[in-house]
Amino acid sequence: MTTIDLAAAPARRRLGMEHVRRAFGWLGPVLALAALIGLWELAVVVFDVKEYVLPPPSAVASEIVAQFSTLMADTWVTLTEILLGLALTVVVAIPLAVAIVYSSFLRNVFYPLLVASQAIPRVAIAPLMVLWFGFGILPKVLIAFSIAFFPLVVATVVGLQSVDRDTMYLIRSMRATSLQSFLKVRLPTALPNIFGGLKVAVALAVIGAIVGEFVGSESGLGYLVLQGQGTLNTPLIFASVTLMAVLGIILFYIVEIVERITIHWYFAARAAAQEGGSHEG
Amino acid sequence: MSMAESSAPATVQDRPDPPAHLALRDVTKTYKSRRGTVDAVAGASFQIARGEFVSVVGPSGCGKSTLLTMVAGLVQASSGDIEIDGEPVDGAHPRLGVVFQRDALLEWRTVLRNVMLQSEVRGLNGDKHRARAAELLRLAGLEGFDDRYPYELSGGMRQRVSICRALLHEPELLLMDEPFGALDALTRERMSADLLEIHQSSGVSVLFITHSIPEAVLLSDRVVVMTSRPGRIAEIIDIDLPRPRTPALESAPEFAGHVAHVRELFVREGVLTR
Ligand SMILES: Nc1ncnc2c1ncn2[C@@H]1O[C@H](COP(=O)(O)OP(=O)(O)OP(=O)(O)O)[C@@H](O)[C@H]1O
Ligand SMILES: [Mg+2]
Repeated sequence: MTTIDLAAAPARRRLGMEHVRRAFGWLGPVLALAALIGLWELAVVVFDVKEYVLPPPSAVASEIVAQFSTLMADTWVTLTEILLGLALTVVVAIPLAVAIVYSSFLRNVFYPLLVASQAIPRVAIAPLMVLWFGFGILPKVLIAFSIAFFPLVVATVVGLQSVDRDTMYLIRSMRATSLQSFLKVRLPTALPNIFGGLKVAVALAVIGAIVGEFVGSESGLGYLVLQGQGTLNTPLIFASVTLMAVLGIILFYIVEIVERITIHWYFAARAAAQEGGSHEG
Repeated sequence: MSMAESSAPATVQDRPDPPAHLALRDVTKTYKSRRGTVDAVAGASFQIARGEFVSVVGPSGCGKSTLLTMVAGLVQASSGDIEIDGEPVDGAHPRLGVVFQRDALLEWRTVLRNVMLQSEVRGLNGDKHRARAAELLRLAGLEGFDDRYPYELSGGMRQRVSICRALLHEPELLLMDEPFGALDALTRERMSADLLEIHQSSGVSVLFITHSIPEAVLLSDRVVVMTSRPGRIAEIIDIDLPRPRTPALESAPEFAGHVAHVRELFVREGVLTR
């Protein structure tokens, strides 16, 4: 009896640690970030760095508070560009990937061209977009789209092609139409890859929208960065960059949450497999 | 071909016996790839009458799965004829149920919805088949697992779900590719007993593939013995043990005789050693 209790105790304690880790998992990164910011503040004061070179975090924070309404308006502009760029990316990339998987012509002729087109630095053609479409929102949306869409096409193509042979046989043994086998087998099989591609697309769409703003714009966070540069208002640059990062992180996590809900079976199966693996060692 | 038949009136002669439920004549399959060709199946011929249970036994890689996918209309034979009810197989036959070597469950569907895939895809009545699916799952010992996902099940449970799925639309011909291959001996015996019962009560014809000689003898009316490279049929053995059968039959001396016979064939073909 006592031996059993002794053996069970460490296991129970480990379980307790697991709970603590799960509940306060975010605490570590947050504390590390706070420490870094504190160090930055300290360094600026200690080495007496000029504000236009490197403002202390406190100056950035007070800039965000002082310029709050402008910053929010410009954040909204950039967010709109990113979301429209992403929407266009999803609406074009996924159907295109489906077409590539189903048409040997597209796969053999168009897909290689698409891959080759990635050699063109999209940032370099951004000025062309402004030339064609002006200073409004459209060129930013198009630049965001042009950078973000390729990874999503590739991820979706790979996902749609990853159905294993027995599953394909199964659905055919039920005399499924091609539409049925697409909706009931291919598309769900591809979802983990599609979400992976989507997360890359989100990060790239943020970059695309800001590059678009750099090249020619009258508003947006990228525009504010240029303004800050022109007026030596470095705190404004840092404030804008901070908001860009916040925007990127929030969008990424929204996709992640939708992913967790939509393909919960994928994560659960993976976790189960990993658990099996950890017992091997 | 008997004397009586040849002297029968023309009208009777014009009406031949009902065709076998499944008939294979000189079926071959050659896979071609960049690295050369593989003769997976060479000249396979046998028939399954309605309600008959026929097993195919043979060593790994002798073409058993290839044979089954050809019968299922999923892979085209290189030559020869495959007929179901006298009609050449062209795509999956409507009254076919298939159990695959790996369970082929869809990870994103619950147990019940995995079984229901069969009726959904075939456009069969949803309510009626949902009730039937629940009943099949209950008989398979999976009551209360309707809403679980495949990753929550053991290998044996997963395979039972896939068998329920294959039975949902009341198939007339059931093709099973080593359905018990991944199971432990106890589960295997229980599922053999269940399969015997299903076969007995529904009258479904079964083409059953296995590695196990005793399993083939226990379940089948006939055992097709295959040998490898190229996969060809060494012999077809009638198993005249009475039905209904139960796994208890395995201790009967006649049973041992049949098992020894099949073993002997494999020894002669160099698959097994004495
Ligand atoms: N799609 C394919 N392309 C090329 N060769 C194949 C293909 N499928 C099977 N083969 C070959 O055909 C032979 C028979 O394969 P098959 O899967 O039918 O064997 P099996 O009897 O079912 O084996 P097991 O008992 O291990 O499942 C093997 O040599 C295999 O390598
Ligand atoms: Mg096989």
